[in-house]
Amino acid sequence: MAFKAGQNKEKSVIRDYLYIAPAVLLVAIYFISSILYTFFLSFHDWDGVNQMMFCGIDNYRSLFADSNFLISVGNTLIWVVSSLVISVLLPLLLAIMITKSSFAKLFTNVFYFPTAISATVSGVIMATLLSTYGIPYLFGLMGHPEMVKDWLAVPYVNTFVMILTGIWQGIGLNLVLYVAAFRNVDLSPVEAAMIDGVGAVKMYTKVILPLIRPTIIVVLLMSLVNSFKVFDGIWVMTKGGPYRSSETLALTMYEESFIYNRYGRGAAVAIVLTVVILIVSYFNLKNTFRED
Amino acid sequence: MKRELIAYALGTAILAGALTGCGASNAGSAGANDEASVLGAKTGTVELWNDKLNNTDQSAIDELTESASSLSGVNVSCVAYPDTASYQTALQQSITTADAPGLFTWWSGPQLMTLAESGNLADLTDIWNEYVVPNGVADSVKDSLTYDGKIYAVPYSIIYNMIIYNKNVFAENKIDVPTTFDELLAVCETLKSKGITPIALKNDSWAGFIWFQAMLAAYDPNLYQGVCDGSIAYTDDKVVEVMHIWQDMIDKGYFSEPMQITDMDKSLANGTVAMMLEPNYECKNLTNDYGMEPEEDMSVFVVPSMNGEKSIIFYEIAPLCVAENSGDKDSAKEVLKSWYTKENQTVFTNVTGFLCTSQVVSENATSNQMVSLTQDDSKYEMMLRYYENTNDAIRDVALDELMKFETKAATADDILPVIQKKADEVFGQ
Repeated sequence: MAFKAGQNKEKSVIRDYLYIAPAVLLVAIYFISSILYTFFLSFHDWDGVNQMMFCGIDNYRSLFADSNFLISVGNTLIWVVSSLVISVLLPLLLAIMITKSSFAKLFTNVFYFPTAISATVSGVIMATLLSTYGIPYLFGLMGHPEMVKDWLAVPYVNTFVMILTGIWQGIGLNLVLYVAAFRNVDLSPVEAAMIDGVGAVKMYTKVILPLIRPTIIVVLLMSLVNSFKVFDGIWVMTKGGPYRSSETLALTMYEESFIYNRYGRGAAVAIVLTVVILIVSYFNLKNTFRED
Repeated sequence: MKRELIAYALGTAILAGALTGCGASNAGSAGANDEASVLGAKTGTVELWNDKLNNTDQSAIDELTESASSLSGVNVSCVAYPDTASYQTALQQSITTADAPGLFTWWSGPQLMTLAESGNLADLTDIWNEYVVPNGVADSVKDSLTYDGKIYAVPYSIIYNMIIYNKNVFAENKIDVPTTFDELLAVCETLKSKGITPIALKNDSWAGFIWFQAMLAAYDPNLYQGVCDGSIAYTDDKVVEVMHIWQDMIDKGYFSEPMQITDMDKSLANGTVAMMLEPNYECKNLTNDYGMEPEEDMSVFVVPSMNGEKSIIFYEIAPLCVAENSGDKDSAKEVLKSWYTKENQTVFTNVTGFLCTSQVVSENATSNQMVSLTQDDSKYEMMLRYYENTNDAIRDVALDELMKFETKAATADDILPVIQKKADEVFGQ
């Protein structure tokens, strides 16, 4: 009997592995192999046509000596910090404000609407609005001719404009997550706090927000990873220009590989980006799992 | 049990799909190789890969491929990539195999030379002499397609850059077309005093060289060529002097803030900007999208020389190549034999707006005017534009630095040493 049970357990284990085998194989073939090849490529000098040449860590060394790469790192940090602060806090505040509103559904839909537009389309819309004949032109009519210029061509102003565009587009999803979390909050601790006469601010900071902490962490992680890999909006609006001043790491990776045909350097940027995201995600996930 | 069976079946199907998918790409390519190598020349089929026709209507592309097919007897199909980077990658991955397209467009200068040097391009010298030049393509452009004495491409398009100006603005302000550089400066001053921006600057990551090359060549064509080939430093006194002239023009407000090309067109059409240094295909856009009647509302002139020498017309050329390893190589060469006939080029010009041969004229009179100016050897000289005429590593640095200069983020004295540092690295090697 015990022998039969052991046999069944062994069968079950094999069956379990078979269940996950397709997914593991797909990930191995299409994902892990790509990472390994990118890692391999990052130690080579290759233009895509001629012979690949091993160059050791030259790609990494030249990257960190390249001012464009350092600007790109700086821009990526600006994106990450802005996204974390604004994309996490603003929807939270909005969700707090509209959850109790009679028009909660309407507000949620209004804020969610930009999420339905693709980043490319919103990029085109913003590029048109901010071009010489868009909003700047209106400023010219109002007596401010110095404002009549393509705002996306102004270095560093364009980065903040693009961040705002990204936030405008991404805010809806985070808002919906927060609203759903507020609606599913267990009311008994809230009611207990009310009986104890806790004020509104304390109610949120000490009771409700800790209750929706898992949602906040999800939003935080999503915003973090999205801000690291932001590409499409920037590509459509400025292509990283003028003079590569609005590039982020994702864009630098693409430009190095596919515009300048320096596949080794592009791969090195990809590896740097991957390592940074892994480190940040690791600490976040570790804290999440430890505390939950 | 039933659920388990379904799960097993689905898992196996996904796995099989994935594995055969991977294998299929190899098997498929091997099959295609065999088929191409065996059938390519016999069946006479050839693909024309490009990234130039992605905004063209399918009916127009069909018209072009039907024309090329019927004239050559080879079945031509067009593969238009929507994105330059993905196009380059796809081409680079296939160029060494028999799967490479018979015909494909590329970029002249270092990018063409890289492919030629690697032995991946077919020698088209015979076709050039027998079928290209006799059909009205300017023989002078072959230098930009030649490597080691052999011609490795024919022109898909030849584009000329000149100043397109608003004739109405010039007429209203009693301005004549300038024939010397001093006159050009005077025109700019007059326009500026009337509240009109003289010249539009383009906001694009690659566009920083447009006025740089024009200013250098206006000062001295040899100076331009020397800078391109590395025989003259970017920090040379003459280059510095030219940059200071340009800086002075920018400081005086002769150039607009950099703007998108659609805004440049709009500004030229509504008269808030009077001139822009752009290629001939822009005439078509100005007419079709902004209603500027050729030679009524707009015309062209060449940036005048600063010292009375011939003025320089910059051209860019998009090469059309045949892949050496392609299974369709012979068919592709067959297509090129009739590609420049008047019949095919008439269709080509109607579809693309590009003019390659003297046998065909465009529907746009201003575009034709540009081409006719190129044929006046007594006044003008043709030169390959900076983008394709210099080493790409130096060019990439120069484009960023020149854009900083145009946007007043840096001065000439800031940027020239930076570009020269890269030039020293490259030419030093």
